[in-house]
Amino acid sequence: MSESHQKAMSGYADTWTSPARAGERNADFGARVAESQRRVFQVAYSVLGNAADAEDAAQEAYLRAYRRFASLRDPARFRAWVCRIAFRLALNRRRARGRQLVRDTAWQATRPDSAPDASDRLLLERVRAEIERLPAKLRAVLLLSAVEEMDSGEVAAVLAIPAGTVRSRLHLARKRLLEALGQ
Amino acid sequence: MTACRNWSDRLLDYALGALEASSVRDVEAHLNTCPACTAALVDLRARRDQMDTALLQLAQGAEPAPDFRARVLAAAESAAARGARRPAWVGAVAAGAVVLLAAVLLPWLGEQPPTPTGVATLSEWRSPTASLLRAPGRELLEAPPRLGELYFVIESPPAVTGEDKGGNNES
Repeated sequence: MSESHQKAMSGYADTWTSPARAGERNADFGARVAESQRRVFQVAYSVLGNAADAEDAAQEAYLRAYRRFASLRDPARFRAWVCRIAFRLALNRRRARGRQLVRDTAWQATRPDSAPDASDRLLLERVRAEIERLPAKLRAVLLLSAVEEMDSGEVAAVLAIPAGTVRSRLHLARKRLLEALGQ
Repeated sequence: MTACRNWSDRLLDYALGALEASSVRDVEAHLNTCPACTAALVDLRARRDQMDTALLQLAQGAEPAPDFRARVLAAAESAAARGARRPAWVGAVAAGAVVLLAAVLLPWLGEQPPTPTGVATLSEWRSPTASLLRAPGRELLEAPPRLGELYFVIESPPAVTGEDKGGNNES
């Protein structure tokens, strides 16, 4: 083996096996997870409607991101990429489960500090039921747009569609939902 | 209260803030003269606020478990450890496969006669019509006679001389 080859191989091995490098990499990855986990989880939750499945989908998305972490160091790029993967994994899981998918009840989903009363619970269940009746394209845009601080550009990145399409679908989804809730 | 049938769709857009300026003026002009649509708009706005609150609760209410990050990191480290162990046996299997493939393919490749390339084959190929064109009468077809010429020139037989006659008699 040539000297240059040996040098290259030792560098490669060092990247992956050196405890110092691995520790640095894991710390960096841990920081990215900390700053993006809430959004990634909520993206999955918006599709699946229950926390257990949403956590599984989010965790699988992070594992995939970990394998490609070297090319995803930029925080904004990392978060967008993991959100997109989590969304697709959640869709796959939803399709696979079909009718067996168990959803949290609407009041289970809400924060303990804002526990709704009976009329609010009924309203939440009604809204969720009407959202389920929307076409999949409108439903995805509506739920992703409701995720905290996700603007039309970020929703567009997750769905791989133009931002203008996100805005028009969002309006149509809200209009249909508002109409349905009045009937 | 029920809105006027012709205005109900535009009232929805108006309540959601999705109308252009000119349409907004039209709707507001109508609202000034129509108590039914004004009452319907109040209902729509209340329902819109309820809908938006519910959407936020549904999408943002759930949180990942407190130990979610720790579980993700543990799973990632576990996957990395599996990945680090993998090259030892994956490399051995791959090397074995290459040796086996070479052992099977090399003798077979050595026995094969050199095959002409497609270009060489094409350059040697002749159309079957070439042999047909060499049929009898080809010269006649290729050079038709001009006006006043003949297709065939019939040579006259040689003249019979007296010597030929006498010789015959003597024999």
